[in-house]
Amino acid sequence: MSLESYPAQTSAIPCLKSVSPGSPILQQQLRTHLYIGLLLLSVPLLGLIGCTTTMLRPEVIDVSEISREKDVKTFMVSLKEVVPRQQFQQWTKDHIEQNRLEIENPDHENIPIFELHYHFVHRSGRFRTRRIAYVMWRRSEDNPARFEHQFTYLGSGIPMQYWRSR
Amino acid sequence: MIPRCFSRSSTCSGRWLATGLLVMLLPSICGCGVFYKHRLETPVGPLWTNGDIETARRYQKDLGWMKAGLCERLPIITTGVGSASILLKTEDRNRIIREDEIRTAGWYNHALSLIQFTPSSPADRILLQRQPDPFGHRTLLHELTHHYTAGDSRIRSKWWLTEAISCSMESSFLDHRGQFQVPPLHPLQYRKAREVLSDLGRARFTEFAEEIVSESWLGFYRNDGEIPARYAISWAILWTLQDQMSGTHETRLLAVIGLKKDQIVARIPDVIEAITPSLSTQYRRYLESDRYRRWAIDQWLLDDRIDGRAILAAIEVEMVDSLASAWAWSCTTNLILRTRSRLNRNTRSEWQQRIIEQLESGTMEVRQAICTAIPEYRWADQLIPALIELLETDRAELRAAAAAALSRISRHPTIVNPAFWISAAESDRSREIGEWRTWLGEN
Repeated sequence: MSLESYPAQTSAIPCLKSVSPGSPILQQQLRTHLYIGLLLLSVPLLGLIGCTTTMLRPEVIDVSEISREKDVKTFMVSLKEVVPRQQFQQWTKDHIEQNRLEIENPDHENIPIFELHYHFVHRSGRFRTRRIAYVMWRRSEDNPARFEHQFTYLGSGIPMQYWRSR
Repeated sequence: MIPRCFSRSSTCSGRWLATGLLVMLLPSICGCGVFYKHRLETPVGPLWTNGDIETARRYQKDLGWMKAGLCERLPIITTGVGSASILLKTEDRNRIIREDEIRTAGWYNHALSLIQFTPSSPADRILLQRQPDPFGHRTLLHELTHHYTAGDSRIRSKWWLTEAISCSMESSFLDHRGQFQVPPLHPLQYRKAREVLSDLGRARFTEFAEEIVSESWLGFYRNDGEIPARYAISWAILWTLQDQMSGTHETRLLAVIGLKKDQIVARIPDVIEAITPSLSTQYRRYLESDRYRRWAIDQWLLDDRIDGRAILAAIEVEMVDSLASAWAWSCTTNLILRTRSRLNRNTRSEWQQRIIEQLESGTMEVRQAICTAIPEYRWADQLIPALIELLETDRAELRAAAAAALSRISRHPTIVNPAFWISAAESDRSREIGEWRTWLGEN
């Protein structure tokens, strides 16, 4: 790798071009520039890692269904770790797509699902399991072929029985 | 700009301020039509929205009685107030709500006569179902009060008073006779003010109240987590002082407006005395009042601690009025089918039987009201046969309400989607009803 081959227009250090090869100053500068170059390279790399981290799906230990009605599905999703808040909606969206819940009702054929309720629970250390998020989807009135995200609620202060939607 | 729940406390440089002002003025220069799809004429002024036109029409109708009510109650203060532009924000379907979040539900800008508010989202309707705003118009009425009172510079110059007046008017409603009523107290603010008193103690509460009546704009609206407390104490001060005056609603308000800061501070001990009784004590007092009885019943039923016997006696008084039927049976259902009502078993059984009779032979309105009011309650099996019968009624909305009620009191799985009970083929509905009957026969 020749530093001299850095195209001036893309190099962050255009003054390199005026230094003759082999001189101790050049070696010192080369080292400095190598560090800077690595540093600059590491910035997008860190960015990529950061993006990858935020794109990680919540690590789900268990999904159990506690549905009571024929057309309302309620899931308890146990998480290993607390995840960024945007991920709850995305996870439920993926779950709906993977299980084809928009078009199929696994338990009751020919009865389209009306509502989907997801309770995300997490057990931290020795403490008992607590709900950390609640996501609700409902079949769209405008487009009955699709579900509409109603809201995502973060917290555990409201007991489950208060989530009455009908 | 008057944010209802919070404001940013930041100092802006001149440039940022100018840019901000320009951005704020832009809609008035260009016209709201540039940003909004729909324009509706209302008695207050044009209403702009990009959202659902039906929701906008509902608020268009509400603005008529809201304006008339404010002008009737505050004829002097509202004289000469011009129109306002109302921006109705759309619901955010992808909203993420954090527990205990404080968010801006609406704001008013006096310079531009501009009101912006967001109607209750589905999440809010579920979250706030135990709060006293059944029609979801509190934010709009709060901001509208700002508009109709901002013309008085004595109100405008005191932030605590500005918010206290809006809080005192925001839960006003049209009663069953179509009259504009201002509630005798604001339960949410009353509860919050008592909570602050309990947390701080009398001495620190007095200091806090003194600070509030002296706060500047930045001080009053600073985002320090204490905004709900400042609103509640402001309301409590106005409520107490107004109660000490005599005359009409407006005369008493004007008397409070005329008080100097020292006079207000001197009366803070009265505020403490006024908010000392429990909310239940206050409700019990208003159950005696012909004017506020229904209001007191509605509010008390939202609480966890109730005196079922006192409420039931008050409902019976109201039942004499034939206009009260649907409302009275809705309240009765709410009271009888709940735990910790402090009613004995005999009374509960007797009234549950009366509810069944109404489901079988009451008017359609009463049946609908009962079905809608039935809560999640495990000990209401007796109602199930009557509700199954209603699944076959000709009235589609009643079928849907009965199905929803059944889903709340029974463990038998059913179809909840109202669209099914309203418009599905009769054969499909009959199959479902058949399942209910079979299940009933087996249990």
